[in-house]
This record gives sequence, structure tokens and C-alpha cells, in this order.
Amino acid sequence: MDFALTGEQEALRDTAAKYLADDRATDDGQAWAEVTDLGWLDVELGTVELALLAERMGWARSPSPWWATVGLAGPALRAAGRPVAAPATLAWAWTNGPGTLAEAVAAARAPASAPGVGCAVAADGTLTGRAIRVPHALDVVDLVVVATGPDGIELRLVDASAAVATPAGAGGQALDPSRQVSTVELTGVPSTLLVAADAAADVLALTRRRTLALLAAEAVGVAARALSWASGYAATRTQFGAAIGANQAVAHPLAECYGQVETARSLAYRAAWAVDAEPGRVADRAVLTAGVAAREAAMTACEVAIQTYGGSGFTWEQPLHHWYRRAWWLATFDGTVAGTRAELAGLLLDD
Amino acid sequence: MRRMDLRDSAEEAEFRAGLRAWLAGAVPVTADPDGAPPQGRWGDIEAVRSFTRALHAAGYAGLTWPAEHGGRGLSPAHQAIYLEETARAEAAEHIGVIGLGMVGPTIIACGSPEQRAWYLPRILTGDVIFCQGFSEPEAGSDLSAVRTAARRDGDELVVTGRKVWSSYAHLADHCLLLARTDPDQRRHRGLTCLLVDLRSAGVTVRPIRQMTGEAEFAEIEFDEVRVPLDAVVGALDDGWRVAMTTLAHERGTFGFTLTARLDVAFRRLVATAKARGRDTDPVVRDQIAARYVELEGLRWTNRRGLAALARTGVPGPETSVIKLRWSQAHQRLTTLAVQLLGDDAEPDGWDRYWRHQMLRSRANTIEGGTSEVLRNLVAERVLGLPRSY
Repeated sequence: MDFALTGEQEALRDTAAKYLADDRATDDGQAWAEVTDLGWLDVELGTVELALLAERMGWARSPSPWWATVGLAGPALRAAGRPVAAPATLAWAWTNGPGTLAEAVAAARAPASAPGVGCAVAADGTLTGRAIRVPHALDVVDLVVVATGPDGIELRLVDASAAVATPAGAGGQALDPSRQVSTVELTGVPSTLLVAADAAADVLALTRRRTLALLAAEAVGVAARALSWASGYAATRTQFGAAIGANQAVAHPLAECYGQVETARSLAYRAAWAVDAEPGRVADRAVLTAGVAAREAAMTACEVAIQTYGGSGFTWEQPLHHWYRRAWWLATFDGTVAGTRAELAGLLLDD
Repeated sequence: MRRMDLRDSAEEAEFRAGLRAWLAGAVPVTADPDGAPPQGRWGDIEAVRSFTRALHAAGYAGLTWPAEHGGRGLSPAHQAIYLEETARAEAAEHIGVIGLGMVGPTIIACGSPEQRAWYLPRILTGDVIFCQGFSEPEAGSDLSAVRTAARRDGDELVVTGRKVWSSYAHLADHCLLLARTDPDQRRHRGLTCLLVDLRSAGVTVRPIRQMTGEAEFAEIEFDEVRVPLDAVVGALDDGWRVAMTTLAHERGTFGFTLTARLDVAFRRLVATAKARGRDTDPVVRDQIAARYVELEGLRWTNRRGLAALARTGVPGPETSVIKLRWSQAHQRLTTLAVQLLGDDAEPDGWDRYWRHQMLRSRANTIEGGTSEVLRNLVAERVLGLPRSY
């Protein structure tokens, strides 16, 4: 038993922290080239290493489609022996098919009982369907599609420029404008088979575990950033002649928050480790557990931080709301936190 | 190169398997006919004594003590495995938990050769049972306010004062006492740690009846109790440093003890939910999952802390929240369990068990550092906020 990061893992995390603190990291065109140069798409990176990067991306609230590329699209591309190089994402939620990733996995596992997802593969290999809530659909080159073929659910690759993507809400109306989701229309779009029906369920299950582990780590980064700001502010903002953090009514919620963030961090690292080392039920339980703890930590930390800042915490100018939006995005991705608890309860109580 | 690996090493796995096999034969079945556990951890004291002797004979007492002092010289990771496995087997604890976990290590670190030779073997076998005499009516969270006086008289100290909240004092025959030897000094200075035989003339131990009805704590009164000078641990007037050594040992793997108990409680919660047919209620399921997330957060944070301890000799800052969060998690768990009992089933041993646990858990956010003090510590020492008191 050794629950500590290696020197290489610490170096990777520290490099990421340094790079993401730079403005270059938010410049779209430049940023992807640097993500590639930094080796963040390398096949050698395990889920623990990816989680450490995701945590730093949460801290920086990075707009990069990196997580979707390695998390949502990566497992299918790798299973097909294709490089993971260009920005990529996954379309799995259809207007008349599965909504969550869990439902997509279930549909792939039991094709007989599932009516098929709302995207059909035609005899000539073209795809037609309407996917909802596709993350980064406007930012990617490759689109991996969960579609119904003759033998069940398969995973196919399409050129994202052949799809019509319409952002759901724009600008200030979007929950998190730095992580846009879109509705994607595919009308007779040519596609290439990545994963056939007999293997799609396992690849989708890995996709889901990997993605949930990365997003839990990202949520820890969001929470840690909010807590760091709030602690710094409470230590320096003076009212009635003393720092406001000298009041236990201000300090104690921050201490509670620290406990929430650190236990969530333990669970996120453990989940990332389990995705590679204990694939199957152990990993499923671990990613759901981390998903609950980390997303709740992100929400609470942002809310406590906004309260600690007082009136200025409510202003647009103060950046906290950007992290709060990301926390909300995470808390409602692939179902709600309560939904995650319900699924976890199934694993704990029903077998 | 070391790699993150959350599984037991081959050597740890062997230790765990050996212990598990031993426990399977050594742990007596103590549950009620309806499967409910016995009340309290010390229900049958003779059974605890005999289990303690068996633990010692099998080499499971003093795992982390150095071999030269009768221990096994094993790592905190082995201690963690021991705590997990004994909890899983629902085994009793060693009767001398305070001696084994706190007083013994303090004597090893600060005691005289004579103290080591006499006390250490007896702590391991359970023949000497220690309690800790630190808290007083006017010195609770603020330990440096102790007033119990130890006045020098020739080659003796004469102790007068009152200690409270001393766990297991009703079972103990010895006490590690923190007393003021220099009345002219204030706060942390002028204090001394002493090893006191509770059977000495002038000692009165009065159990404190708790809201559960039982008495796990006691008040100890010292009325002109004569203690030989060679009972001083470390140097006269250097007791604060010695007491901090004791408390540091409490924090080493104590998180594993707490979490192991919570793990047992969680499994009992699930059993109760199923037995009472409440495990299909979506609200109950949501709550059970929430309790599981809390349990797992503690389990893996302990292990992170252990990795830091192995590398640096001190547990990481994240372990400072274990007791705080454990106490809240345990209170929520017992509250949920009592709600699950409902009023539509014939009451059995589980009703008694959970009502007792629910009442007992109210102390969790008070004993061993109140939640308020723990939040102050995190705020100041980890988050860097100004002192608030």
C-alpha cells in the first residue's frame, strides 16, 4: 500500500500548474499545440496522471477540450488503434435514446432490451440522428458517435465539420460559457467504424469511468481554487479593525470546506487509480463515490467563497462566478449528484 | 521506483491473511440471538481480558512498538491493517488501548529505564491498565490551564486535585497524570507528567454516568496522594512536552481506529435497512449512499496520510480533518439507523443497539477535541487564518 504520488507524477502536476497559470493556455489555436507538445495526449499517461492534469485544469478553469479528447473520445480511438491527437469528443445522448453515459453503457450491454439509440447506421455507413448536450462540439475535429448498427450499438468516427452543431444557450446565458454543450445534427454523414457491437459496451464502460474520474479530479481543482481565494481574502480583508477570518463564523465554514476538499481529493485519486488497476465493479464504485464527493465539494467551496467575499463576491468583475458556473456544470454533467448517489446505492444494496 | 499502489504489498497481504485466519478462530461470538451486537464496547469485561491475553500470546499486542521494548517493530501500515481486520471480525479491543496507544509510546520516548522495564511488558499483557488524567473541570479544550497540584515533599510528590473525562478510568489501575509542580509558573510551564497507581491512598475514582446510562468515563479525585519522585516521566516541570508526545501518538493511526469502527457501523446500517425492509425506499437509499461516501472519504484520506507519514515522519495536513469529519459522519449514520427502525416491527436487539449508538455518538463531536477547537486548528494552522480566540 503506497498512496503517494511518484516524483514523475509530481513533476507532471507542477509543470501543468505553471503552464496553466499562463495566458497562453486560454488562447485556443496556440493552446492545443502546446497540450500536444507537453505530452498530455501521450498513450503512456495512466488515469492517475490524467487526473492530476484534470485537477490543474479545474484549478485554472481551462476551456480546453483536452478532457473530452482523452476521456470521452480517447478510449474508442485507442481501441481502434487510432492516434489521439486532434481535439475530439463523444456524442452519446440522443433525443430519442439514452440520456446519460450510464444509459448508453446499459444499452450497449443489452441490445435486445434496448430499442436502439437515436442515431442509425445506414447500409452505406452514413449516420443520421440528433444528439444533445455534446460537450465541445464546436471545438473538435473528431466526433465519436454512439450509433445503432445491424448488430447493436457501435462506436463510429465522423468528421466534426460534417455535423451541424448548435450551441445550447450562448454567452452569459450558458451555464459555463467556457464549456459549451451543443445539439448536433447528423444527416447522412459518412462515418468509419471504430468499435464493433461486440466490444462497444466495454469501451463505453471504460469511457464512462475514465471521464467521471477526470471530472472528479477537475472538481477537486475547482474546489481547491475557490477555497484558496476565500482563505486568502479572509486572512487579509479587514473590517472592525481585524481580518474577517479572525471571526469563527467566517473561519469555520472554510475549515469544514477544507475537510470536504481533502477527502474528495483522496477519493478522486483513488478512483483514477482504480480505473486502470481494478477495472469493473471496484472502479465503478470508486468513480461514483469520488463523483459525489468532488462535485459536492466544488459546489460548496464556491458558495462559501462567494459568501466570504461578501458583496464583491456577487459581482461579475470578481472571477468567482466563473468557477461557480464550472462547479454547476460538473454537478449536472451526466445526471445529478443525487442520481449518482442513487446509482451508488444500487451497487451497495442490490447485489 | 515506487509507484502509487493502493493494494497491500506482498508482505502486507501475508500479514493480513495471517491475522484474518487467527481472528477467525480467536474471536468469540458475542451477538444476541437476533444478531444484534452487545451493548457498548466493554460489555463483557472478562471476555475482553481473555481476548487481550490471546492477542498478546499471538504477537498482536504492540505491533508498532520497537522490538527491544517487547513489540514487533512493524510499520504504521501494519497497525492500520490490524485495525481494519479486527474491526471487520468485530473483535474486542485490547483492554489497555490507552496504555498501548498512548502511555506506552510516551514511556518509550520519555521514560526512565526502570519505568520501561516495569510498565511496558505489563501494558502489553493487559496486566497494567492505564487511563489518562489530563482534562480537568477548568481545563478542557485549554489543557494548559490544569490546576491539579503536585507539591514536592522530600523524595515524594503530594498530589491534590480533580481530573475529569478520563476514559476507562473505572477499569484502570494506573494513570498518566498531568499536574502543576511549579505553582509560580503559568500555562505550559511548570507542569509535570506522573505515573500514578490508582490504588494509592487518597485516590477516589467516580464513574460519570452518561446520557446512555453507562459509565465509560470517570472523575478522579486526588487528595494528598503521595507519589514517589521516580514516577515522573521525563523531567520535573517538563510535563507539557511529555503530554504533547502522548497526544501526538493519539493522532498517528487513530484515524484508522475511528474509520474501522465506522466501517462496522455502516455494514450494520445496511443490515438493518434490509432487515426492516427499508432498503427500497429512495430517500433511504440516497442517505445510505451519502454515508458510504463519507466513510470512503475517511478511509482513503487515512491512507494518504499514512503515505505522508511513511515518507516524512509526520502525517499530512489532510489528516487534521479526520476526527472532525468522522464524528459528523458517525452521528449522521446513527441518526439514520434509528430512523430506519421505524415503529412497525417488533422491537429487538437492534432497536436497543442503535438507540444506544445514537445517544453515544452525541459525544463524538466533543470528546478528544471538540469540533469547534478542531476547526480553529485547521483555520489557523492549515488555512493560515488569524487566531480567533
